[in-house]
Amino acid sequence: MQTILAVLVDDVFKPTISLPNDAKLIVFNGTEYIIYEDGDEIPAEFIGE
Amino acid sequence: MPLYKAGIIDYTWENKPSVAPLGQIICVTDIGENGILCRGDGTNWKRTSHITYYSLSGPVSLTGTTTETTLLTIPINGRIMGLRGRLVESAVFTMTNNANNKTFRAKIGGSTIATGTSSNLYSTRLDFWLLNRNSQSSQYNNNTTSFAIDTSVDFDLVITGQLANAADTLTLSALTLEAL
Repeated sequence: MQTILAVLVDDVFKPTISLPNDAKLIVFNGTEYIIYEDGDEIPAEFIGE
Repeated sequence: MPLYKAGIIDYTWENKPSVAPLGQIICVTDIGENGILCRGDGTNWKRTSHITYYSLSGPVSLTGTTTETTLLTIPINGRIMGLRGRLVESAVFTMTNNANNKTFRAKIGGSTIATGTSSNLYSTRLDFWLLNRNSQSSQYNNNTTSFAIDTSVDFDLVITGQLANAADTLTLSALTLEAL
């Protein structure tokens, strides 16, 4: 699991670096992007998304 | 006969030959799901078929803010659309099923190509196409809105989401982008 910071540009949050193309799940939590990769446990509220 | 026979040379979109001899076929390895074939028309390299340009691998969820947020950025190579090419996008969003609005947009630069707002739904779609009108810098979308986006240079297609209530969740569950 890794996190990517977000920056506000023209009133839109965007990641400071490119988001990966092969993530199992990406969650923006209001502050940062959380990247779930193979082997990471997916939070229960996002299982089935 | 061997499975792979040399004869069609591999290139990337950036390093493909600047000249495109009529009838010459090349493979561009970094476009589409597993490369594409292009055929020279004497001037330019033209795609020989429709391609799946991008497929989302895993869902992207948004929660915790009411600020518009980038969910996905798809870099698109300049000239891939050609003069009369079309980008066709199909996306599925899932969301908290309540009365609060959830808004999703597809943007290129400062132009919003498509937008939708949903409430009281568990899932919905955002589908659109963008057609070059015999020019790489003049387009119509599926709502006949016109745009002047220069598709002869690299550009980004950006998908954003926005919640009316930060406690809700909006998820980009699936997305496919095709170049026709």
